[in-house]
Amino acid sequence: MAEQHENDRHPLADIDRLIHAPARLMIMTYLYVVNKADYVYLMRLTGLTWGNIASHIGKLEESNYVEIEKKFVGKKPHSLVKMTPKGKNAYKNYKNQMQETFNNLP
Amino acid sequence: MALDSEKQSVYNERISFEKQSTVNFQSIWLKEFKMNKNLSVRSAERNALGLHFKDGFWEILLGSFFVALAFQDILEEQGISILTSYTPAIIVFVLMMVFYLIAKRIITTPRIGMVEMKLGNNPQRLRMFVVAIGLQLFTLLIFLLGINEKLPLWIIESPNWTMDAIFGLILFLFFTLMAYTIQANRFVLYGFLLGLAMPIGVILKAQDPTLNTYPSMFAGAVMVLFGIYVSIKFLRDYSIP
Repeated sequence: MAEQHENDRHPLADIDRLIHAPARLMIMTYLYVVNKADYVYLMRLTGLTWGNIASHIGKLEESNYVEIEKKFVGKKPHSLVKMTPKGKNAYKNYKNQMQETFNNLP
Repeated sequence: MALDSEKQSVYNERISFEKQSTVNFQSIWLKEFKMNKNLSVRSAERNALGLHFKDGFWEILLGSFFVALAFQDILEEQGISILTSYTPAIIVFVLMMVFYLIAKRIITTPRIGMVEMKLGNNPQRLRMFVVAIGLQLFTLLIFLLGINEKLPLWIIESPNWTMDAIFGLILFLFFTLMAYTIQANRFVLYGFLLGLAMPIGVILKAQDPTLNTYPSMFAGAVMVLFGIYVSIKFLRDYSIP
């Protein structure tokens, strides 16, 4: 079987799978638009459940695409999620890759 | 004939499959997450902004203010001094502002969460800000031209409600832009009622001085009622997670 040359790989083969998952794509898209948002806000916008949001943000945080700021609002602890510069670059690259792919389609 | 119709149905099936499987990742994900929204950066921005206005409190605040201002005119018509006639409006505005801030904090924020937005990150918000500033500057220009009696001849020779109609149109444009930006069509109605209230008030005043406040009072009352309806809907749809 002929091996696929690296240059022959389809651009989508190297797509960032961390962002490509629909739930994380929604989260990253909203974080790209706002400066910071808490879990409840993201939950309302994306329609995901609490567990889903926490799980996906955890994965994004592991890869340093987002960072979580913990502060107190009154006496209650509060977490705000913010996209890191690495996350912004990754999102922009993902957006450009997808747009290039779809623009080349008939 | 039967064979042709068979081929036709196979052809139709294939076309529908190809249409479904071609570039349409948005609809696949929308279907998966049962969302009825288009996922693009622009729509994400509008959704994020629109969430703030889902509680209806902003229109309760603004509508109450217009109703209170209308009462101020009525009091002034009855011969009460300007300072005294403005007092109820100021009291209502302060009370409603306090209500708005408290309601946002204890009712809205626990239900929709917190967000910090930067002007620079949001082209839609920036566009709205620029247009709002532009409209205000245009209003100020017309006002200054009017004071200095340097308005164009066609305005001077037009009926006396023309200037109010221009200001009303500016108000309507601002509310329409707001409606588009935050995805709340009811703001078009508010802009229409408030924009129309100004020239109609001038026309009614020519017939009876006491009638000029009723159009803006009506517009304010409609806003308050809509705001209450939206608030009830918000409380029903958004429970505290």
